[in-house]
Amino acid sequence: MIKKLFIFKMRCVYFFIIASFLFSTVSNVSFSKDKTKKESLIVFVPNTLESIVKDISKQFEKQKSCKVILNVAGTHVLVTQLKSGAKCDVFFSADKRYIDSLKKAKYIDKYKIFARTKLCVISSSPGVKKFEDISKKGIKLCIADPVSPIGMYTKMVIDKIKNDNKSLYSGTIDNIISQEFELTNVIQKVKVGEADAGIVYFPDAKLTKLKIIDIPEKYNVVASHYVAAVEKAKNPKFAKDFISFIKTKTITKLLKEKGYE
Amino acid sequence: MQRACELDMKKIFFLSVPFLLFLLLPFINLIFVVPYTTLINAITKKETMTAFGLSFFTAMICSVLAFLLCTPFAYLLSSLKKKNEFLEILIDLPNVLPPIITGVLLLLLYGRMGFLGRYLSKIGFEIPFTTSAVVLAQLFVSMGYYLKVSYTSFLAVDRQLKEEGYILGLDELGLLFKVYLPVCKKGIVIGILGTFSRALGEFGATVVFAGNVYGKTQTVSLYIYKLYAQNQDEVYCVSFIMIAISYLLLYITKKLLNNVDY
Repeated sequence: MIKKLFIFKMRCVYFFIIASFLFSTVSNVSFSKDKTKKESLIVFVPNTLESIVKDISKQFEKQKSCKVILNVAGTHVLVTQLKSGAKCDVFFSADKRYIDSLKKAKYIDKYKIFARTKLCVISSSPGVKKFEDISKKGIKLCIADPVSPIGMYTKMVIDKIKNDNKSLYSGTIDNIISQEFELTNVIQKVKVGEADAGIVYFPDAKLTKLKIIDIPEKYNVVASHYVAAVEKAKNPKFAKDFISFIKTKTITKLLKEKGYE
Repeated sequence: MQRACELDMKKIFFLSVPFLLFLLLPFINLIFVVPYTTLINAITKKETMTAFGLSFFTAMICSVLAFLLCTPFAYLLSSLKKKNEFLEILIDLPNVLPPIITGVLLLLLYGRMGFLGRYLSKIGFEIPFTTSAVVLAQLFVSMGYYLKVSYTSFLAVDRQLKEEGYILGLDELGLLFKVYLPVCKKGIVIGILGTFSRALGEFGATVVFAGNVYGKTQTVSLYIYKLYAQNQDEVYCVSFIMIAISYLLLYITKKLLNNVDY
């Protein structure tokens, strides 16, 4: 009798687990769909482009009956997600390296330049007033790891310094406290004051409201951001619409406002 | 009766199959994915070796520190007349906290703007983004395990031994070193090994508190995270080795556990 009861209990538990599992998968699908049964467009956005793409999506949603779902992370993370089978219609990449790797793997066919910007130094410390100060003794500089696009552009800047001014270079290198994995981590470290300065994209620096120090023209690089419609997109028509929408005048104006070229 | 029992076990077995698969499949899958031809190359790469070296070095210091710092406390806890719930929960807390919160907490305290860090940095002592930060992060996350194991093995020591120790004229410190530690040495070793394994895998607290500096704070976990965007094959190789090491560590712990004679 007790044994039977036990097995019955086990069955109940088992049933409950399976039921909850099924429910969670099913409900997941039903929650992500909009109640008005609008179509949705999944857009992969690197951290740096989050704010601008958010604005664009809002305008896009107003024009078309389409819900834009943003997936925001570092470009290198987004690429891994896409390659592991994540659904995506429009892909933004903060550098050429990753969008080329997607093209090579036939995830996308062709891509366009979405925006261009430059790099700059953000600082929360009174000790950093001009660019050369990042090599001053005792200043803590936080940059990104070359695995991320901002890290790669930063490396290009540092390489330029290396070829031009050895003492500036060695001072800068000595001041680097950490190479963060993503742009957002760099901004965070400067914001909480753990680092005196960080190297980021200009539009992001504008958003942080921290002190912005320009990088001299001879060291600075142009950072290009790219966009592409993903092959086999769930929603190819909207994906195309979205990309042509980006090229409209209102968006170009918006880009200028945000600090892109 | 026996037959009925066996039949029941069969049912239970079938009920456990989903769990077994859930646990095993990721590992089995990895075995088929690892590119064995490049395994040696991937492991002997300079970056990989540095990351492994750093991980082992920090985890080792972390376990030694756990032993030195936590043993007296575990002893204190075990000899309390009344169980102290607050302290027991406190021990478990780092175990269940999201590691990233641990990282934030540590940075908040020892960081340059932090409550302690402010004074430490004035005397030229800066912890964040150094190897010591890695050790601290690992220690905070993993010491709970050591405390728990050593506390339980201290509790299991026969009270009579303690009284005999008193008769022989030992004070509490003498008791700890001459009676408790030798009696519980297996428990202690298990605790240290567990702390070591846990410290080896620490990621969340390290990445916040110690950042990512090659050769200084880039442990295996951080290295794998960085590598994942660039070279997946290498990630599989490193993961494979890491799993093997962790398995070996757990195996040794298990063997010791089987022979525990307290």
